[in-house]
Amino acid sequence: MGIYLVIKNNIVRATKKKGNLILMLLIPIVISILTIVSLQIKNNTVRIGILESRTASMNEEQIKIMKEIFEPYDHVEVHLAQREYEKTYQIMGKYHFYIDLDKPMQAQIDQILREVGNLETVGNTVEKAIDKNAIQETTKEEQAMQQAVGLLITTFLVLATVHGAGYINDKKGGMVDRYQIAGNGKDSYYVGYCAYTFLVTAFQCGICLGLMQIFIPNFTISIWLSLKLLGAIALLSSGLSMLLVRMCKSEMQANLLSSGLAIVLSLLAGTFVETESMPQLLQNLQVINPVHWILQMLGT
Amino acid sequence: MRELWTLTIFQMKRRVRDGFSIGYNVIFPLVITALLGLLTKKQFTQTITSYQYYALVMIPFCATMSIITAAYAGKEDAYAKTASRYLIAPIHEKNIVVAKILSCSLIFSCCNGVTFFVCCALWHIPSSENWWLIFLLLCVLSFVIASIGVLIGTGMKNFLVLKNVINIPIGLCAVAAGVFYPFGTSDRLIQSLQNLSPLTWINRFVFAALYDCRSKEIGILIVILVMVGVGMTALAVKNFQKEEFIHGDLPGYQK
Repeated sequence: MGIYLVIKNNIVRATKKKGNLILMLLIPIVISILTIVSLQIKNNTVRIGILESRTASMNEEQIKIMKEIFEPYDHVEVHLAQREYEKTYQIMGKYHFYIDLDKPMQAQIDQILREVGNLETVGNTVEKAIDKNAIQETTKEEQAMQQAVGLLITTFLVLATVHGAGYINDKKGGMVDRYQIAGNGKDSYYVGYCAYTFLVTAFQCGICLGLMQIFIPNFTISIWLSLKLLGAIALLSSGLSMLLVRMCKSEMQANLLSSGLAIVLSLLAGTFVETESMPQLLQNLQVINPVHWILQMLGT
Repeated sequence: MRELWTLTIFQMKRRVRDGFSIGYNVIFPLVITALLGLLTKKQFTQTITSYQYYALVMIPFCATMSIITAAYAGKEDAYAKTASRYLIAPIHEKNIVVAKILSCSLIFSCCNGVTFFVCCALWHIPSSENWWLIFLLLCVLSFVIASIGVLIGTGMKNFLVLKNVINIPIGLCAVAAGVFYPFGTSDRLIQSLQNLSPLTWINRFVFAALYDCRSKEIGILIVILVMVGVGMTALAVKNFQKEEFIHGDLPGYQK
């Protein structure tokens, strides 16, 4: 009964102010939109920057010739690049390759064509490349789904701590003591708060998963898998957050620690970086990472 | 001046004692840089290693995240129930706010500077006369962040709501700026959205300074950030609310 009262009281507190209620609904919507947008943006376009010649005056013609050479490749774009920021734009991912009009062009073009087509010789292995790309496309869809869910987990690990950190304030304010004096069990306030955090996180996560299934193409999972995912994410987020809340003396400590932990767990689980490109030791360590287990559920 | 200096020293000791300034501005960026650098080792070209990339983008990001620490610094006297002592004491309210901003700025600057130079040594970031310019940029960024954080902590009624949601815009800016992965695009709309993030400009000019030897842009950015910081400090002083400064009661408190 005490646990039920704690859950009910916290839900009433959270929904009492219209602002809080709106935020509770708005945050998962914003998160879903961001996840959807970030997945749509991430594509495999290869961008080539053309560095104008410092001396010659035939730049426009040569640029036109470059664009014609790469036109047959759908996933290649050619743009004019600023020489002053050559390395900066390459580092930041704006351009993958450069063609310097002051250097021999054929060698540069051949090199890029080899990288772009992933071919050993230009020409007769085009079919193999197309098959390989088709297989890669399916794997990329699975990876995109895993990344979407991984982003969700990262966000909810942080959000759950925001909800759960109210326990610290209640403890400091004497509410937990008054609850015990009223004849309730020592830890039942904490358990009730854990349950409340779980419910709120599950609610918000449910909205996110629903929106993602509606708006992300190819993000279709069965209802049973959706429920399992929902339960797993909510359980992991609320469990970890309440553990942190129990250990920390202040709300700020709990929030900052949860942000750090969420990022580290997500990184090691392969959310932002593909598992195959990680060092072997880190791939082996994924076994003890709960975020990795949840992402594996998508693959089954 | 003496009051300001005394308050600043006192606040600086608090920042050092609470440990989060050091933890979040030194240890966290180093750990995340090492981790991300290790995870993405194979994905970077010869121009820059993964460790160098993440060192240079993580430090400004973690400096920006310190806005929450600065906001709590603005509110801590209320939570410790010592705020009324400040108001009763014969010190100008302006000195309370400026001392908090100065103390946060100095501590964050030191932490960011130490992190930057440790990263330069550990991961062999290209040596350049622009290192000092980048350090100055980090100091000025710390000043801006401290002033915005203290403005939130001392001058805004919805501190509790703001501190919970402020992570979201910072996270968005970080993603747009390529903090977690190099985020390049040719789409004009997305490029415009990326350019809305201050971290995009900071990262871009830091890379330009170190790898393309361009220091003019960083100089302009430093001047702009100084102006923003001074403006935010003036706003924090003007918006200082005694009721909010004292108000350290629990959520749900009805006035």
